[in-house]
Amino acid sequence: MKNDADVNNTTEKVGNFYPARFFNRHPLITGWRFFVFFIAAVVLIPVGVVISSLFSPAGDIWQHLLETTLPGLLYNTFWLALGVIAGTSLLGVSLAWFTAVYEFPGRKFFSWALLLPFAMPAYVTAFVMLGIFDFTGPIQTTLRAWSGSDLLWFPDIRSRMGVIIVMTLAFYPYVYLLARNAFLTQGKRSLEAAQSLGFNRRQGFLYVTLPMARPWIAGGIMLALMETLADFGTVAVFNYDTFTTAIYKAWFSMFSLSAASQLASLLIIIVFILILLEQQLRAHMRYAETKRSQYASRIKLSGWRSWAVIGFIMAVLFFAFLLPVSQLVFWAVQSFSAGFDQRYAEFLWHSLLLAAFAAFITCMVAIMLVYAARRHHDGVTRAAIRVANMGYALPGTVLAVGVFVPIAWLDARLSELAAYFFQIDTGLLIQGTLATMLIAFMTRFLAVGHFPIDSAMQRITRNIDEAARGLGLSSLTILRKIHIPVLRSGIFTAATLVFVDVMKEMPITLMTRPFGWDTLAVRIFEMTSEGEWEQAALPAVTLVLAGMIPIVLFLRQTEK
Amino acid sequence: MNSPLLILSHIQHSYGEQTVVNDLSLALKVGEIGCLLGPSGCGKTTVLRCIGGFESISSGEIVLKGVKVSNDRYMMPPEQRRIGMVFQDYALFPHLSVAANINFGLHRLSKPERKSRVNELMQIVGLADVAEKYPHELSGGQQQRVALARALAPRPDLLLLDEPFSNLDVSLRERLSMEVRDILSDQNITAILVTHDQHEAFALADKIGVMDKGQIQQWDTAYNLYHRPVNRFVADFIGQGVLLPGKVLSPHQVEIELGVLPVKMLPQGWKKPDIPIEDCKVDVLLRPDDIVYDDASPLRAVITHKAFRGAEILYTLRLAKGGTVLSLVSSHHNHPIGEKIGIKLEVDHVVAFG
Repeated sequence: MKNDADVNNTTEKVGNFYPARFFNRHPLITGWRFFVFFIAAVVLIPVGVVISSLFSPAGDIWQHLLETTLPGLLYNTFWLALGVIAGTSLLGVSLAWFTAVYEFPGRKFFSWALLLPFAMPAYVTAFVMLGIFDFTGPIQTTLRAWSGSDLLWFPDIRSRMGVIIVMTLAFYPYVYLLARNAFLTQGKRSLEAAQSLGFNRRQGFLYVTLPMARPWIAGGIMLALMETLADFGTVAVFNYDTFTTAIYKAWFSMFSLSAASQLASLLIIIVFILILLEQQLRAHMRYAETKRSQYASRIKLSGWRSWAVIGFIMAVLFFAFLLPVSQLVFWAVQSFSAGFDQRYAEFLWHSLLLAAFAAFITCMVAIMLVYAARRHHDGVTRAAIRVANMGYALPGTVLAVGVFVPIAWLDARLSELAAYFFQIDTGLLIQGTLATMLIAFMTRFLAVGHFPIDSAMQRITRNIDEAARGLGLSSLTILRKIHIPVLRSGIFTAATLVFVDVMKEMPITLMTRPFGWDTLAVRIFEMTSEGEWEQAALPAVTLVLAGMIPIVLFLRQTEK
Repeated sequence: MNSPLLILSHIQHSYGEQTVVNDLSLALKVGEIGCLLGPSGCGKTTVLRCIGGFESISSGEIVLKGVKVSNDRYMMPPEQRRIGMVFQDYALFPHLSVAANINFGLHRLSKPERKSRVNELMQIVGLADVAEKYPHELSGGQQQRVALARALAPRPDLLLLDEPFSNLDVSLRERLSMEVRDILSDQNITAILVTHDQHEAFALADKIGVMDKGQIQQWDTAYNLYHRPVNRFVADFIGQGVLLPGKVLSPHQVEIELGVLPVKMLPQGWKKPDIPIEDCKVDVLLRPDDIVYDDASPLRAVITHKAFRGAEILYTLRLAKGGTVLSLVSSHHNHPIGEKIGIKLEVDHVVAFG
């Protein structure tokens, strides 16, 4: 198949010399295009299903929602979003500025260490923080013992503020990473330009560097915001009702598919608005792209300034990573004998199996999309590929609903057919099988797998193929000697990222898993809903360890 | 004669262990355009950045308009120096329009003053019709002009240009460097340019400092750099030419394969102690224009290589005893490789190195 792509790549340009091929070069539907359209449809169907529920008669569901949960959900979501925006931009931008522009002891170490919170699933940070700072946690217990009083002044962590803080700690790296990139590529140079025009550094930062980095900063905030809206585990642990928990509750407690899809449709609309905004920003980012300045000499911090910066960074690292990880390890060790049993092995096995399958399928699909784009670089194919990559923006709860509805429909039709033709009762063929889950995962994480493979493919230009052909290599040899070696690391990165994302994923797994098919994330959810922090620690440590892998990959890549 | 606007005396700059600028001095008068010319890594950009206040110096001092702006203990921040800088990558502010970019450094002026200054500059650099465009919408040459206008707007005492044309293609480079030269002399701007391209340096600068290993090898006019290089590095870096071994006949005469040349002054150290004058050796620099085509000449050389230059052909010639010289000959005299042609020496000023 891939060879075929090569042959056609090279004939694209010299197509005129092959009249036969030239004429049937672009039939509307080729195998490749069909595949791209099919995958785009797989992504679009859940979206369509969810959105269409807005327009389908829903009886008094809306009325009911409006009277009961909806105002609260909107209120909660709004304040949560606002809080996370404020928190992540404050932390992300300041940390990025310090590590990109200044020189202070430990700067190199801190600039990558600040990415470590990426390894923490937000719901893990959430339950650990609850475990530490809650009424029965060690902090309050100790303080009560010391003071002998009831600590009425101690802030309640189970509050809006608590959720906002936890999510800020979990999601600030998005803003940090993008803002830092912006500052590194243009910060120092633009600051010098401003200085040569008579502005001091502080003014230069305010009037030049910050406005120039705005698209990146906003892009980072947007990612953090999407994560916030999609988050299920954190708000569930905190009992802070947002759309995702409401969808989940409607799904399970009431088992009202239509209420769940109504809520999902609202959430998806909010997300789409964000995507549109994000794409606007991207366009801006492209034009503002500049080369990394040659002279990136940093401003040396000394004395109390240097200590203040180091102290600030340490505090963030402590609360976002060190503290939760140490507490987790402590709990895990405490409950090791009880936790590490047959069941843990089963959860782990399920998680690994699921992640491996999903990574395999997703990478295969991504490779096909990449080759399809190489063969057909027309607008329609490109648009279809973009649609196929859109699933990443869909909150897991929405996607679960969107995948489930058509599959349930398909199942019903299939069993009708079977009953009609063969007079047998097939029961549910697809529903509640791993296939449902895998489709949902592929939809959600295709973009994660597509990006690294696509960037690897960008390195094999058409000219390279043609040069190889000019040297007399056959398509098979080109594939073996050029494509596979170049793509290998991209595919590896893609597979790893998808693998880890699937392991950490919670709501899709919860909502579409076969009955009794529990994974580490599911186990964490179940234990934390009952406040059994220690029981959740061992699975959580496992996930954090897995979460470190992409960070290591990322760092190795950026150091090259 | 007015006193120098900019004086660098014995400045030194180190990056860790490595000394990038070593004991460098120069002076520039008001309205003069200086140039630091040298291969990449010679430290020229670092000198510019030291003048701008973006890098510190570890010894020596920099005086700008009579004020000490840098020494080993003190560095005046760039924003207080009244310098303008054109960066190699222009460093235009991508979020601001052309007019806003030019306006950026005028924050100390009143609103109407600003407006008229921006308009004036856009006229000067010929950008009035793109005032509201954004940098990414402009061509490389236009971006370059915006960068120049932005740097000139606040009327800096000194303009620093860091490889200003290196991102442009060759034809544009030549045209724009002449334009910039005109603008700078019209406005009586004192400027320092940094480049690795000698044509750019010749086109723009009054005085050029050829730099190597963190030091200025020669600070001189373009003519003198070409015709009177002080050392082998300058001779080699500027223009083309070959060095032929020569024998000293007397303190005023050197013999090379092509004949005996009169010498005004031999290089320092040519006379080795304990060696008689007749045995002292020097190398004589011969430029392609020192060797003239002459059919009647008894001196004959074999063409080993030729490069067609349009109006001229640059021949590489092998002499009878194996020495090689270059000769720039009108392209009417087209000879194949391997042929012998007649040449004669036409040297105004002999340059010899010990």
